[in-house]
Amino acid sequence: MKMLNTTQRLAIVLSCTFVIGLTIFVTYPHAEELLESYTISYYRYTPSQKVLSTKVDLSNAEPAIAVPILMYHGVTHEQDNDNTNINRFIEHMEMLKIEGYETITLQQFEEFLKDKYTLPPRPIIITFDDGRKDSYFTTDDIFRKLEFKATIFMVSGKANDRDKFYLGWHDLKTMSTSGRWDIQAHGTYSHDKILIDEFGNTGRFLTSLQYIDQRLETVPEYETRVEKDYIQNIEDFDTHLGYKPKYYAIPINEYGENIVSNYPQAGVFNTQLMKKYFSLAFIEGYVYQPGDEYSRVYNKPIYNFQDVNPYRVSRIEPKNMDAENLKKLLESNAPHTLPYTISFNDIDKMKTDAILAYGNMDIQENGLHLISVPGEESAKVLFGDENWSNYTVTAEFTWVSGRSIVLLGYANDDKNYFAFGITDGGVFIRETVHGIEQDLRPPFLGYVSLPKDTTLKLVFDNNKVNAYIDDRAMYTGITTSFTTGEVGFKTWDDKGNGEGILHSLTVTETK
Amino acid sequence: MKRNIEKTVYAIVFFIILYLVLIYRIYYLLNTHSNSQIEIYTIVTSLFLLSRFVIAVFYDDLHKKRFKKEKYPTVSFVISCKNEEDSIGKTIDSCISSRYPTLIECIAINDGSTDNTLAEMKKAQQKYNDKIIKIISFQKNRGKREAMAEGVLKASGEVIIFVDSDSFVGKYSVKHLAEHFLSDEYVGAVSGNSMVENISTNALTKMQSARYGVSFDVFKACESVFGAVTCCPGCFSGYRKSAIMQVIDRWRYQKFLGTQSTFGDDRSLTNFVLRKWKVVYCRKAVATTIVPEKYYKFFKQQLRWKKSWIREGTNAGAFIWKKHPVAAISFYANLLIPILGPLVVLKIFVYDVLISGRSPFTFVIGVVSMSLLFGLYYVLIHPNKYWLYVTYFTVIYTFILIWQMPYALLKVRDTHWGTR
Repeated sequence: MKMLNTTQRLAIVLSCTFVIGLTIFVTYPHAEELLESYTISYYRYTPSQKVLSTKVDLSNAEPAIAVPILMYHGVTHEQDNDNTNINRFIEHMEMLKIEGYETITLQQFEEFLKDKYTLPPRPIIITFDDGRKDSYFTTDDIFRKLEFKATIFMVSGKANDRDKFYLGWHDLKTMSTSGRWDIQAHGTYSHDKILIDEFGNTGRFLTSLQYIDQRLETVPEYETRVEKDYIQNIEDFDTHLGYKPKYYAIPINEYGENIVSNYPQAGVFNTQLMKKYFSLAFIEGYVYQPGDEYSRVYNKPIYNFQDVNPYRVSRIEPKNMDAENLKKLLESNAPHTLPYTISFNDIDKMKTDAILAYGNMDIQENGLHLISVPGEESAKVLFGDENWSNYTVTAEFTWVSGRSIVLLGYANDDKNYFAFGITDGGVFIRETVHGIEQDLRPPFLGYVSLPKDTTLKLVFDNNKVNAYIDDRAMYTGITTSFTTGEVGFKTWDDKGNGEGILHSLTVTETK
Repeated sequence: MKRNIEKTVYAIVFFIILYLVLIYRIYYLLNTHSNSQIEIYTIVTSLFLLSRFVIAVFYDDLHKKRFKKEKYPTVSFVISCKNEEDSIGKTIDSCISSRYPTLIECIAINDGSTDNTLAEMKKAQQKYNDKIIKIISFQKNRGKREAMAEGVLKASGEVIIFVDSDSFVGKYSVKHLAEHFLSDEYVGAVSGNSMVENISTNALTKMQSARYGVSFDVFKACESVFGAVTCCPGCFSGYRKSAIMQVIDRWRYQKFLGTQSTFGDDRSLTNFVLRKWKVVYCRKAVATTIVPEKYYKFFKQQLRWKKSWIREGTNAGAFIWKKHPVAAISFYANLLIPILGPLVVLKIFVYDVLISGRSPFTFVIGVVSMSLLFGLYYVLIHPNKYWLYVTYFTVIYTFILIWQMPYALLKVRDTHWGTR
């Protein structure tokens, strides 16, 4: 800058500033999108040899009649209790691919509910809640390469606030145009904690009366505030993505049954809003807890049938569940068509299909050994499909020890089932309704056999039952309170020494 | 020609890095809701640093080259020396052999040396003659300030040139300095351009050469635009004798927090003169100086500098607002930023990492990018093949030197010089 005078230098500085400023202004949006995604890198997935070469043959399979839905939060490279580790996630996805599962969209699911869509033989829906960056950046390539589609339920407030942890509108737009992702609703500020009293205690945004301006808000104020969240959520989608979401994942699974809240009607009010603004609402019906392979935490179905409550559609959260166990969970809960047979000739099917409710189960060459656990009096195993009705179930078994052995039919849950069994005192036929056990006929006394190979048979014709031991009719024309349910096998001993061996179980349609 | 190609490449790289730094800063500004105090600190620091590039464009070595020979003021070199028998002779030689139209004299002060410094001074006296070389000798060490003061009092020239005993003055450098006094009657002092003599010894000296370059040709040049240079380094600068005489006693007997101020004599004198005069920087007036080659000496020197910087910062802070507003704001920013530095570094490298698990990677990249910008800007002005070492300086500054600041604050009353 030797020869130039002040004015010339000023001109140079100003023009440089102008050029730089202009460049920044023009290129900023592109830089922004680059920088927004820099915090988490896009994971490149290589399919394993196994998934490329193996596939179950479903060419002769019939269309499914119910759909299981999976739900995840983040898919991360670390290991924690709320998210799924990426290697585990890949195991899940590859298992689904190998087992012939096909992803369907929520749109197709909605049509299925209206009987306007035919499901593939093994449908599955994959969803992600909250709209975290690590729900998309780590998984997109997996979905691309496995040809799966997924849905992400977005908390739109996080995108509005440009929370770095969550996807921004720009990312969501890219996702929704990719053909692999469907973006749907999960509330605006639904996950925020709000003050509920003057002591600093907090509750959730949508389900608690807020303590504000030194008082608790009134119900009308609450209702306005909460409805605004729903309206805002939909508006955000419309503004940024160009469509209004039709499907809603219920935030924090708070939909009325056991919400801890200072307003007991919160669940009811939110459900009203869901019905007003959305076509379907999703809950979490099953969450995997380590060490707990089969119990249903919320007692909600794994599969969703056509008659499911559209605002209580159930989902499974596998988290870091073993892929094998996830496979079993899906298979053993899959609707089964009749005729259905379980026997010691197909140990693998016995292992896959048996749903152990409690007690111990040991599947050996001669069949399924059902054993009471010391300290517990009974052991119970279930098979089949809660939707079965009008069937004949025949069970061949050996009663090894214990005070009774029971064939269950029309079994719906622990408090509602029909039972036909042999005890050391005789034969009984009874049902348990809402936990209350009741003999439907007086028991036959004096009929005891131990150990013995026996066949028990129940014939259900709508709500009328006939019961047989070794093809000899014991009871006929019994009326039961139930019309559908699974079948099962149970042992009981007040000292915990019960054991029975189930050799085979056959279920056919009652003609 | 080669230099022009070099300059074009450097300029392009400069603008690319500048663009990246700016766009990143803007993105972060718009998108982070993090700690606002740190945000403010970062914004202020960025603005301060970026403003240096703009202001330095307006720097001019403001002196007309041609004056009549008779006009040039008489010059007295004041060289105070303690135990520098190896270099004092060469220093005196370089001073005397300055191409200067009028009278030169050299006042050499032996500040209680225990080696052959005095003998070397006498040798020089023999070589030239005792009218040109005058010697003042202290039996016992009295400190640089005393030595300088005595030298000034004995000097007969109209302009005093302070030179360190391990510095070597360029042939025309004194002429350049003097021309500033002739061009502008309001100029009371002129800082020379100190460069590193022992530049290629090791990484430390290379780094110091890059650091000096940025410090003089960017920061000091900015101060000079407003005539508000706050430090004319003792290794080579010129003062009007009349300007010094106005303040000599106050400067000589300066006290700070109850103790005698011994170091930072150069910065202190500059500030005293700055109250009433303009102080500028002369890029062309080059002198080379020997810089520490060992790390422990380097850190001791830096600690000394920080103590004087703190003291002089508070002193100058009292009157700098009367000078140009931009100069004043720059001064206050330049004072506060390093003082708050350790807190920011702690937060980003310790607190953030442990509590939020946030990587300091972006901060490091940001700091390194800024230092690259300064290095490039400097090398556009003056070729230096070690300009890249400015990043090494920044790393040492962020992790070590910045911690000397709180230490210096605590020890500011300790007047011991440490290893000289």
